[in-house]
Amino acid sequence: MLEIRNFSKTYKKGKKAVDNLTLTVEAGDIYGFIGHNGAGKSTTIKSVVGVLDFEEGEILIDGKSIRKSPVECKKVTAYIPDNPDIYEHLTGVKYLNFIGDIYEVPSKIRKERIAKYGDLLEITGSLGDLISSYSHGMKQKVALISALIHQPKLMVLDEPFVGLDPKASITLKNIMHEMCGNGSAIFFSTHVLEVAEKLCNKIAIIKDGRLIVSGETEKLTGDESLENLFLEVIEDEK
Amino acid sequence: MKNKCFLLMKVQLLGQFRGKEKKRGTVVMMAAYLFVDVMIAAYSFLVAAGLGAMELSYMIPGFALAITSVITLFFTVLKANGVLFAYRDYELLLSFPIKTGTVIASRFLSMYLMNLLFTAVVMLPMGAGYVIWEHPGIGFYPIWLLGMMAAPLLPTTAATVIGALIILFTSRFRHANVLTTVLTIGITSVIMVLSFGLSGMDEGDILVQELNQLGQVMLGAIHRLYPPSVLFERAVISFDMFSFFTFLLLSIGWYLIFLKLVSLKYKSMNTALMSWHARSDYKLGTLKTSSPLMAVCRKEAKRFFGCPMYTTNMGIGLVMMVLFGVALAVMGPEKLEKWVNIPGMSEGITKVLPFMIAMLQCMSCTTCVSLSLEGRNLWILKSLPLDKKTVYQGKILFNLLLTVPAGILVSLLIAVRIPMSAWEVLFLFIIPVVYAVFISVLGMYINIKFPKYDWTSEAAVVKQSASSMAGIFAGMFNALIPLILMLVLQGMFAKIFEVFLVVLEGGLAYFLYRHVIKLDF
Repeated sequence: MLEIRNFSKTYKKGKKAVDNLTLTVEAGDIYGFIGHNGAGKSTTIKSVVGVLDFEEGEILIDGKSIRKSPVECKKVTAYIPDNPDIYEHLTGVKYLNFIGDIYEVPSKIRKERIAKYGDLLEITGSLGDLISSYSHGMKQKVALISALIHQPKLMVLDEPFVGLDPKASITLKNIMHEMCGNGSAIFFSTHVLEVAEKLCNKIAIIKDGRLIVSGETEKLTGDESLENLFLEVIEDEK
Repeated sequence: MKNKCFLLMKVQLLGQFRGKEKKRGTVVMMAAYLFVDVMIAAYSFLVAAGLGAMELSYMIPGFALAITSVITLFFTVLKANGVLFAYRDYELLLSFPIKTGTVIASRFLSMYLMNLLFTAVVMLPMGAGYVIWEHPGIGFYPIWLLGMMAAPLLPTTAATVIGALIILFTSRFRHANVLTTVLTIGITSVIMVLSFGLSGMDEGDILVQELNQLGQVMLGAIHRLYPPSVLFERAVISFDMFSFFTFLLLSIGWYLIFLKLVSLKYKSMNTALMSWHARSDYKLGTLKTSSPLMAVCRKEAKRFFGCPMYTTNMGIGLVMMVLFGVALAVMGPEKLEKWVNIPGMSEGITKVLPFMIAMLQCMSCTTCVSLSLEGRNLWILKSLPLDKKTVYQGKILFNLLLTVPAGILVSLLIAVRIPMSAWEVLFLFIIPVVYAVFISVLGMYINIKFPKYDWTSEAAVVKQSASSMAGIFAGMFNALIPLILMLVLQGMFAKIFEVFLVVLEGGLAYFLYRHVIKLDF
């Protein structure tokens, strides 16, 4: 579903944020992308979803290149950034309807999905209010519904659990499992190793822009915890 | 307190002018500022020199103060909300160990400094003109300089009080933004209408032939327009120190009272403005669908009407245009000429009307800022399955839907009221439409080339960014130059010129559009 091949990203001031990264996310995967602050997670994610341009390597979504066919790739992708800055001058429902229009989701299906996920995340009652009146968590919930409105084949999330209340976090995990059961793939970054360990069937650890380890979570961790593995590989790379 | 105040002001001004805007964007902005300042300074000097040549140099001090104060008042009303109230880093600033008064003073001083710059650009050349004709003593210089520095205090404070009162009133209502916009535009229009009306002369005045008497009549109009100008005038002309210190005390005292009063209510005003009327009882109804293009266009409309700073500043050109159209339709060109006091305005007005409409339309060029206003939301457009062409088309379409119907309405009002030939009527409609299309595309191009995404207040984009300056001035000069040429051209030459302009602007719009849709944002 997502194939990153020899991807490198260098910023204008010469800093190499990501260096020759290669990984594959298959349909049904919940893929955790782990690394410390500034490791290159967000740069990779933003390049995957077409927010950032890049010059080296290739990123394929559902077999198509994000550089050559961006619109086709984005049609099957959903993205939620670490900070859900969504249009504050719109109400929640108008924002969701805007996203529905862009993805050309039929009205009936759109309404069903907004109702379903709105109720699951307990935000339907507030969808008529302006987004500027929302808390961080409420914006996160609306961003999440907007990502689910077109049933994406690939969902890319940057630190999705930050700002969500405990119940919404559980709901999100259930939604992720449900999506993967339906053949979609999820690629997300996180600092919370416990979440990654319990939720992800595959993980990748990135440090200073370079991939250190990647693969199936169970095989990589073996008998030890992901926390220990993370500390080990980070120390080894020093 | 002083250090913290200046530190906050410095940070705010740096945020407005530096940011991550591309270097050439900053160069364009500085070049635009410089160009406008040089034009204003040259014009001011010529006005002062002209008054001196007509032996009316005694009018210069009052005129200089009145004109800068009214313009300062007019433009500060439009930006008080957004600079002093409800700005993005308000919560962060208030969490610092700084007095509320210091925060207000820093925000106010940044507005004051910008207004002082404008005041200096007008008053320094006018002062030079006065010196040339009157050869005043050494005492003139400190009076003029201190007066110039105090000049923006009164109008900036008055404008901020008006802005604060609007906010206090509107924050009680659910649709506070809409009310704020309506009231701000309404009050700004009243200031504009009154400043024209008060400075104009009645029919009897026109009969006054003697220049000196005419000067006295005009001086009376200036005093009516801005009463504190009397004090400044006495100080400069008669070295009346009582008037001078009264003027200084009035300006500074008024500012200090304002600071104290706003400090008392600042937090509650901002809280009222930034806390929203949440109902939390929404029931999902039918959802209307539209094409991606219309969705982008509708989003632009919501952005425009949802932000009073954006609506008032970019909509003021259209309001002025409609007011002008209504005034022309109601009063007719002859009466309007006397009212606004622009001699000879009614002669040959039919030739220049299309360009006047086009020029005012160009002041409402939303495309030159709409991309920058995406700011922290830019990721949405970048990550959605929208090709850049649809994004640009949606933004251009909104600008056209905003300007073209208003232009057609004004053209219609004028066509009904003023006798014109079929040719003139045809071009009264065609020229504003073609200009609206061109400026919408040009604005889009400028904003793609000079974006500013890292803003904390919409004012930094709408009022101070390179793209807004370049877009609005390019649009206005694009209409102003043909307007001046039309005054010179006669008969068939004028007609050929109009056809040429329509073809040129239409052609430029087409080729620029073909280029724009290929650009990345």
